[in-house]
Amino acid sequence: MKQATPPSLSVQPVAVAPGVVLHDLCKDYGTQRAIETLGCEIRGGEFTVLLGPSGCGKSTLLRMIAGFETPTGGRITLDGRDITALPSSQRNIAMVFQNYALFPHLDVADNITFGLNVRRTPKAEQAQRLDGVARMMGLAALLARKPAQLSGGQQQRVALARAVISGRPVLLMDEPLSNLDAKLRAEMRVEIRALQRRLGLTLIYVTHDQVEAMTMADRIILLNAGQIEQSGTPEEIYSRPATPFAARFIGSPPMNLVDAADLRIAAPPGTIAGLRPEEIEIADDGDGLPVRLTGHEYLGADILVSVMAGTAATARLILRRPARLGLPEGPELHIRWAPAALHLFDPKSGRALTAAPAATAPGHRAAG
Amino acid sequence: MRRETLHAWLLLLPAAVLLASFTHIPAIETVVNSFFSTARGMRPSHFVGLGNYRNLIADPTFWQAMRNNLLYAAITIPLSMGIALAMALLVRGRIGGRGFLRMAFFTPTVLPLIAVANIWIFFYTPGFGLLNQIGALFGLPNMNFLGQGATALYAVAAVSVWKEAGFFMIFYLAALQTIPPSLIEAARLEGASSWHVFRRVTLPLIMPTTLFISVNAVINAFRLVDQVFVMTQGGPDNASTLLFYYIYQVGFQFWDTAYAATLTVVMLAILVAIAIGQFFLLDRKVHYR
Repeated sequence: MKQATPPSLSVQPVAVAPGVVLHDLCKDYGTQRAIETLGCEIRGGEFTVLLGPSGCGKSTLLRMIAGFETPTGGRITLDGRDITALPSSQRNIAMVFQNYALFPHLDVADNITFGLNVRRTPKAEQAQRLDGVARMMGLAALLARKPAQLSGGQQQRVALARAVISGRPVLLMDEPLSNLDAKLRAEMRVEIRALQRRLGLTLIYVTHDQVEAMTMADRIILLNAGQIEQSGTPEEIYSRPATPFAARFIGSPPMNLVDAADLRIAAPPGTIAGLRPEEIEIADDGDGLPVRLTGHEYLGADILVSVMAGTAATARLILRRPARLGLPEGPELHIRWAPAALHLFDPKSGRALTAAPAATAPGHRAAG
Repeated sequence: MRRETLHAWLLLLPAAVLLASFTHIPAIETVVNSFFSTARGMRPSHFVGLGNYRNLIADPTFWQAMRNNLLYAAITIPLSMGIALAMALLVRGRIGGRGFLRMAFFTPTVLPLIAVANIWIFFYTPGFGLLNQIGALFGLPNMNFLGQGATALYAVAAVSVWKEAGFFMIFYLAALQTIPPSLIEAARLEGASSWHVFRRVTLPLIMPTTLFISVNAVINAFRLVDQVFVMTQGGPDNASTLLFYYIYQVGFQFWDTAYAATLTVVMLAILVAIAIGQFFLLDRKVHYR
């Protein structure tokens, strides 16, 4: 192993990153309720993604953890310590903002060491930590530049460096990749994930992009209309969505959700049946549910086939199959699926009926 | 000539004629006049070279006006800018009656200056003026603010500060609103105090506005005439004579137009020098986005 770089506090992994627990947290804006009473545990050292559509309250939740918004009710604890009433600076958290919030009048070095300066860290230690962080983030050649002279990806890196140099074990990120182009976004996803692993940070990451959530997260907390829809690992949420919302939000194209009766499944009226596109296959032997071919979309490796099912041919299903198998000969087809692939959702509660419930964090309250 | 070029010149013509006839030609003529004597009765104007400038250096009233003007600028510019920034910071946040406060701070700018000056004359009036009445409650002696050489200039300067601060506040308010809130939040998160945020983040980011305002404030300080005209007429004993008022006196009361032109050239030279100095001095500290 090659000689390690000189000891630098900022590059060393956090020994044991603390977890964050939200206890019955809620937030009102006037008469508008932004966050319904919710509770969840964000485990120390994990990469947790708060995922949801815009307006679901994920940013509000993050800003409450950061201390920029005061909760209407409930408590936030970090490492067992109640931080609900503490000012942001005393919460031992760092944050990367959506627009990076770099100080435009300061050069990269001063931006990164801004917090150390505020906290009167000795100059020698500042220089040492800056050196370590700049090298780790590949910013060493850019330290004298102003933010306006940097590309979007470089600005993102400076914002990350500023958060990392603080040595704070909890890092919050608010849609940090939304201003980058697709290629850069893919690169930064890998980089942020690697950084979190390397430093052992507790990372709370807000996004509306399910791809970011699926590729980076240890654990996803899926939010909808100020409530937790489901929380669990990406695999759990993908394979066992707890609600039709979760089923639709994760996966591209999303899970097919149709009336169970249209698939000739015996279930109480109104039950919603869900099938992932890749779980449906064409039955070449003519055995299975009869459907009518209505269209297709060629994606390169795969092909998406649209079919209509049901007595009145009103249930639209999309199925994914390898493109090398070609488009099935229609228009009359039969489809089938493995019994385990079928998801059923209760007509009243909207919760999943099949299989054991996905592992949820303590304190998680099921809606309905 | 190309047709488009002709159109371009025709479209420029109205503005060019106005600018030339009211700004450029008079400016050049002023410089030319400053090298000639004033035509009087039978004696036509003749070239005197730097004669007018020699008279100017020997003119005690000019130096008095100069001193007054520098003192006036030294008082009004920092005070009005400081108050403007303080007011802008106050009415930026979410406080009760914000709309009313903003309006109240801006009102002095909207009021016509002649009316304002007359209101202040009443405030300053010896005996029954507002300031003396308030002073009397605390047992202070009767003061003639505008009639005393020791206080006349300060009394005029106070009105200027009151009037200018509200105007400059608008620029500061606009500048403050362009600072993204996340910058302040980021600084807060790092533990920066309000003072630190103000000094290290807010102040540097509004420097372009500060430069703009300071150039304007300097020009205003040397351009002031109407207020002096209404309130003190430069008196007593030239104690409140400012440069521009002196130019007005020389030009239109004494009708020594050549000497007035000389004074104007000197004042313009001072203003240009200050403006250039401000840009070069402050430019290094100003961050433009």
